[in-house]
Amino acid sequence: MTAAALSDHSDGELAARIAAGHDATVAEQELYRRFVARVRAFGRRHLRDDAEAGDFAQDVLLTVIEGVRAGRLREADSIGGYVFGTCRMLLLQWRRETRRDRSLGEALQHVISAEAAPSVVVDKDQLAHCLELLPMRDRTVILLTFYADRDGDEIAAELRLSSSNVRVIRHRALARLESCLEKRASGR
Amino acid sequence: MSAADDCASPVDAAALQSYVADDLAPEEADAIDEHLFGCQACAARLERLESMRTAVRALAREGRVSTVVGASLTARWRADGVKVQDEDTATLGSTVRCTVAPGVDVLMARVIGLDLRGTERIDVEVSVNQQRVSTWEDFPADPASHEIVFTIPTQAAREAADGTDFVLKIVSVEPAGRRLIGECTFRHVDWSPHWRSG
Repeated sequence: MTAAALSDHSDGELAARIAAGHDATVAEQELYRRFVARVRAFGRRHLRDDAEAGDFAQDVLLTVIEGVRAGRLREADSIGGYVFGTCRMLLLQWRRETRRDRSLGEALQHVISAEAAPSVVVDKDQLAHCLELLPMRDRTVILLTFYADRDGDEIAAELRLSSSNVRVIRHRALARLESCLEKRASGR
Repeated sequence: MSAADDCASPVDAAALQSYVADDLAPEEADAIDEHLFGCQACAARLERLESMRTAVRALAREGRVSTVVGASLTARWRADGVKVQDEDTATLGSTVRCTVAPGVDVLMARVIGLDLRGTERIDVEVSVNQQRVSTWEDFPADPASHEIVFTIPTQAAREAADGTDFVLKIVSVEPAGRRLIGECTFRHVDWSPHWRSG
């Protein structure tokens, strides 16, 4: 069985399988894949560094899986709250710079491999085409947001706009990119 | 399937974008965190945005997108060790020979000596060998700076045939219509150690 075969299962069902040791390997991979974007986004927001957020996500999710295996999750359906609680707990450790140098035993190696196959991948060639269709101002706002990591106020100052205008442009541009990507994916 | 199909109170699209852009007040972001960890439908939307962010970052590092260049992008490229070529400067009416050196990731160019006073919107029409290939609409130029600075997709320039002319027409968009401010030409030549003297 592959992790994809469990993609229709609820978070709680995955946690229950891990706790019971029933198809646990693929359930762990699917749980990791399902939560990694959320944990990484949480980590990036608090740690302000993409690479560190990636390490943080790995630490959190392996801690979660160890906890579920060990029966520390009382109700399988509360796995989301358990992951969130682990995020907050480990964030305190990371901020105190007492993060663990986690060495991956063989028992956890298979989980990390799930990250190599994210469920959502935006095609770069298609995105490059769609970006070029945006007005230059909108395209620049997207690059300043996602590449230069500038917030609305900073972009407003750089492009001589109001902050609210930057947010409107960003919202409109992302909607247009989504629409363009969908059209190209469906061949329209 | 939309988030509304699976989520009783989906995170507003603009709020989720601001969350990914780290552009929310902490208490608003905390509330979204809490929701996301309990909602797979909204988490899937987050994953899509995160994937787009990752792809934009890669394209920006690889010089595959034309954009206006300011201090923020320059600083980020420098921090990332991206090799930026910033040698090509044209004035209106001029033709400038230019190339793409080996190893260059991002190709910058600038047009100087512009009088943009009184303009509200600038478009830049881009032609290759007299054939219009695109229009950079709503180019965010600073009227006080007398120049525009931008990138050209590096691979497209690198693959251009020797002698290809990239013509930029700078146009002011006004209530009465489009007014040509001026144009200039970047003439691509194949790179060699002696390309400047060719």
